[in-house]
Amino acid sequence: MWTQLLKIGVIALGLLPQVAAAQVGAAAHASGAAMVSDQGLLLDGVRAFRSEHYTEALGIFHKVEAERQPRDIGFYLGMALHKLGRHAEALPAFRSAHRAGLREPVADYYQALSCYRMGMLARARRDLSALVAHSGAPGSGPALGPRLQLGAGRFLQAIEQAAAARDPKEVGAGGLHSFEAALLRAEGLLSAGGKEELALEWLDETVELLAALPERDAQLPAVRKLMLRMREALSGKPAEADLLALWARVGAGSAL
Amino acid sequence: MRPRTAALLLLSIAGLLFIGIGLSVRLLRAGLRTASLSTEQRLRAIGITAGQALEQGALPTLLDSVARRNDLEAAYLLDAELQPVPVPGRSLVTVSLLRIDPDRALRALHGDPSVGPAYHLEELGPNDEPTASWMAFGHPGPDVGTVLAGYFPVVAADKPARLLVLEAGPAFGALPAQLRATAWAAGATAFGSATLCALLVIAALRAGAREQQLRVEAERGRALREMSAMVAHEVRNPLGTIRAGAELLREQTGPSELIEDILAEVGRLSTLTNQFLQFSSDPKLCIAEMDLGKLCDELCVRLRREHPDEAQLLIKREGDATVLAQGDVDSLRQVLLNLALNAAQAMQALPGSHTLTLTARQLPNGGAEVRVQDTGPGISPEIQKSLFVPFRTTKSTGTGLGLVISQRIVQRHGGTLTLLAQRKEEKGACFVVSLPKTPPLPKAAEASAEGSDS
Repeated sequence: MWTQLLKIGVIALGLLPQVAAAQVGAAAHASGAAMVSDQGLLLDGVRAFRSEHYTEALGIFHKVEAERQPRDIGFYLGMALHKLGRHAEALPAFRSAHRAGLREPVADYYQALSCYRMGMLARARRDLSALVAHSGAPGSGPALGPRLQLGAGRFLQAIEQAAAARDPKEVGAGGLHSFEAALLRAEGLLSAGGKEELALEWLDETVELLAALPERDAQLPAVRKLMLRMREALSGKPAEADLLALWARVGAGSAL
Repeated sequence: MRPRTAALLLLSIAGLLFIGIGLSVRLLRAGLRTASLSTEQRLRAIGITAGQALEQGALPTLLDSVARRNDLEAAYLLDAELQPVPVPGRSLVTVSLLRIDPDRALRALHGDPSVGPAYHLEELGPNDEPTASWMAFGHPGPDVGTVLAGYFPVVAADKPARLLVLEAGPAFGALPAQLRATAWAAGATAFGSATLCALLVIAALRAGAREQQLRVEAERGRALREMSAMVAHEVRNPLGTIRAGAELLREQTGPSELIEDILAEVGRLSTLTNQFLQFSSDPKLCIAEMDLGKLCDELCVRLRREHPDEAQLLIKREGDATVLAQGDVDSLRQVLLNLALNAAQAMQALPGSHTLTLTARQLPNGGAEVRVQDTGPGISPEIQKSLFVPFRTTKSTGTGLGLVISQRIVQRHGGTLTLLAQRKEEKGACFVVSLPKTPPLPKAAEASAEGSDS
């Protein structure tokens, strides 16, 4: 049976060199046993997540964050929050993992899904397009799998359909959410206090919509004003780096 | 290209194709065997093979190729703490443990590989946006989004244990069907090509054999004509001397039975030499517009004169009154007379009353046709085979050249002389002379006559 499977495996892999048929199952190295001592709590969270006990999983992930502050904890928090429908909290969580320079294709997909459910269609479209375009690029790591590609492709198609179905008089550039509405939402959240991180998410959407506006230069001062206000609110917080990145993307000058 | 060369070439191609078929059959068997395995079995086989390759020193970048070739969702290595193993040259793409079943993964690290469900990818559904466009987007079935994961230990002597993870989605599950279809298509294409090639080889070989036969027959016909010409010339002069001597002797001694016998035989031999000469040479044809109907009428008059007893032999003329054709009237008269006399002789050998019918018709394509039909004993299949072969005759006094010369004349007109296939219940024989609307150029007609000459 093993030999047969091995032969089929060689055919399926397209591996030309003959691989010696050795029994693998019982040959596990003893070093495999000495592990996951400090991953234990995280794995408990994963088990809870897989059992669809998302609230419990979220609690565990918060505990892991407080104890060890692993760089990729934002993905775990974001996914759990997404599953709980708390998209406004999920987006900053995903952002924190990205800030650490990490990419996780499945988490990125869910982040786009959260964006969509928050009404940030321009960001959802941007992130999904990037996800598909990124796949298989040299040095990009494992290519995006066909399942994820299919899902992302359908998702993009759905966004275009949703945009086409809306009244063009009430929407902004590209048929998506209007720029003014996104700007107002960001300003409102910032004024409300304590919602700076979510305001940053809406600012991201605003910047995305601004890029497609024909009267971009006319609208730039308003965006710049909001960014300056947000700079004060986020000063000294990790999210400040994201604001600076947005500032650079808009090309709003050096005043910030 | 000569038929033999073409046949050899096609034979080589066919040989190669048959080798291809053999290989395709092996590929088909391997493909079908692979396709018959379940998704779990295939993923397990790939995982074990790839795991062994990694244990023997293959670089982790191999996994990119493994994922790509097998339409996997992902293929990656985790360390003993279930953290992704960094791959040199790659950007920082990670995997979260949420994609992993930690219990199965840990068991695999202890040497217990497994394949099972990993995660279900959420998609937008009808509840996301209750519009018609969302409904058109559709909602996937329960199994569409499920991704399987296989966990396989990678144990190298000088390295800590690692875990190979292979994620397989619907695309991987669809591979066997694609493989099966491709394998069948490849096999069918190879078999079809080989069959076609074999048919082409057979056709080329047949054409070559036919050409060879025609060449031999033409050669033999040429030799026969040369011999006939030589014999005719050699016999003609002595015959003249014999005829002159016999006639002189008759003047001197008066008529006698012996001298009349000599003169009759000389006359017969003279006719024979004339036929030889006609067979060996092709007198120039004077092609002009003529009326085959009128020619048939003339022949009927002559035949009725020679066979006045209608109770014994009725001569009938049927078909169109006027049948225009391009031809040499004297040559065609000879042809039709020859056919009619042959028919009359055949019927005379059979007691009872008979009918000889000459039917002339204008063909729809502008050509012309004359049928000479009798109610005689017919022509047996054995004789039909050598009907147009020189010097083959069933008549005691015949030369076996009459039909050959007739056929040659018709062919030089670009036409055909054929014996109509008979049904069993039909009596007699029917020869058909068909002429085209426009006769071919003389050279083409000669070539045509030469090719079928025997």
